[in-house]
Amino acid sequence: MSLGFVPTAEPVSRLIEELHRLPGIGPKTAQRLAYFLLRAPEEQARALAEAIVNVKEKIVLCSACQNITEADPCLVCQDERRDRAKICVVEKPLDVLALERTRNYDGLYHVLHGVLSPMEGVGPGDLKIGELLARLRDGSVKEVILATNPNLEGEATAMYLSRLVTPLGVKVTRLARGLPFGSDLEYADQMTLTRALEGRQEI
Amino acid sequence: MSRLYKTQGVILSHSYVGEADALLSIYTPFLGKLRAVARGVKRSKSRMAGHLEPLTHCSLMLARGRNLDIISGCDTIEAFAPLKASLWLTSCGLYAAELTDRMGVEGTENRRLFQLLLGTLQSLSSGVEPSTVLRYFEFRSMACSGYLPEIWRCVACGHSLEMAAHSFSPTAGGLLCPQCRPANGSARTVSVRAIKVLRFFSRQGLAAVARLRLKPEVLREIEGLMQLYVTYVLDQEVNSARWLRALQAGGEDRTEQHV
Repeated sequence: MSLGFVPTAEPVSRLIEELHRLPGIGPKTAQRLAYFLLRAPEEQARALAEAIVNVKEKIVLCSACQNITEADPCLVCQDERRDRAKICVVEKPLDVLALERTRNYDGLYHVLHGVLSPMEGVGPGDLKIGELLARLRDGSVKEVILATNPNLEGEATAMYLSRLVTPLGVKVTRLARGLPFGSDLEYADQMTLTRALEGRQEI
Repeated sequence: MSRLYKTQGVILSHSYVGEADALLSIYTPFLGKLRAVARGVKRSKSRMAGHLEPLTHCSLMLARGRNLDIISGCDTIEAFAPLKASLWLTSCGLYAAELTDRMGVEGTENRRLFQLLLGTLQSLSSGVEPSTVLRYFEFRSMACSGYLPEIWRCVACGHSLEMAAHSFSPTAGGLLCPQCRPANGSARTVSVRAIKVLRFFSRQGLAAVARLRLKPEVLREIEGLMQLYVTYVLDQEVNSARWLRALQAGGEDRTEQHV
């Protein structure tokens, strides 16, 4: 795509165009980044280029959980201390990190790499759903925890998955939905408050 | 002109942009389709996120921005909770939202389309037979956007059509009499029952339609017809329609399940 810039040396304009493709980078930011890299020490620019090439060459999807990993199976799937009877289904690799930070979950994961979005034309075939069902077939998994985001698409995906997984005789659970810590009742929406009331617990 | 303004609207779709912001498509009664930015809605402490989910009717306060307006406050008017508790109904609602998104014009008031969308979501949420509601929505959304198919007279020669099976041509924009049909290759035959239902749709409101009990084969016929017509008008298929068909093939429209 030509951005209509004033004539610059070809390698520079190519770098600008490549940077401009990145999410959240507009033409001006692309120019600034390109000129920053032009002035930066050679080692710094080389390190960035190598990091980008490495990530494309060395990162694969774990054949079990579909998370991004350097070694297949990934570190979580290799870990013998983990409870292999539980699989937590998440939308994207970053969600695994968020759950790992809690240090409260000792089961395995499954990354869908997306969420059902009828309006965007994203269907079950675009997600790692077949891979999940394949993992459930041997009967060793006793519980599937649906940890898709508590929004419309996440809920739809959870409902769809539960329809597929329940007939396999595996217990299906959904992460609790309710009020986030540090929030305010006054600003809570009806759906969240209803769910919070339904999920109330004795203390 | 004040920098802040208020409106109500139904959230049609959202896409996340940047760190935690969302770009929303909203259908409003007086401003038509509105695209606006909601800041920080991906953060767990966002006070707006729950009010701005798709298929939510809410009141909004917006600040005029340079390109897009920014939502500065919102509150739910109706969340359509029963609809969101069912995969099939959610999908039906998303189909209506996507069709509205495609038919609606930014900055152009179309109150009938807004009322139709709102009524459709209310009907889906209150247990009215979803397929009938969607067929009515398809027909009426075309009608209030200026694409009402001609179902009383032959669209080619103008002769009034008696109650019998006729042909429907999406390219001509309505029914054709037996004399005019041969000239139109895209026409397909429509049964008397389907024509009766379409005429009923054109004269009645949602409340009357909600009481209809239509045979599955008539619904299927109208669905096929409207799908042809909608695809012709939009020049492409509605994405959610494909999803609805996939769910139907799996029997989802006949089984309701809540997680």
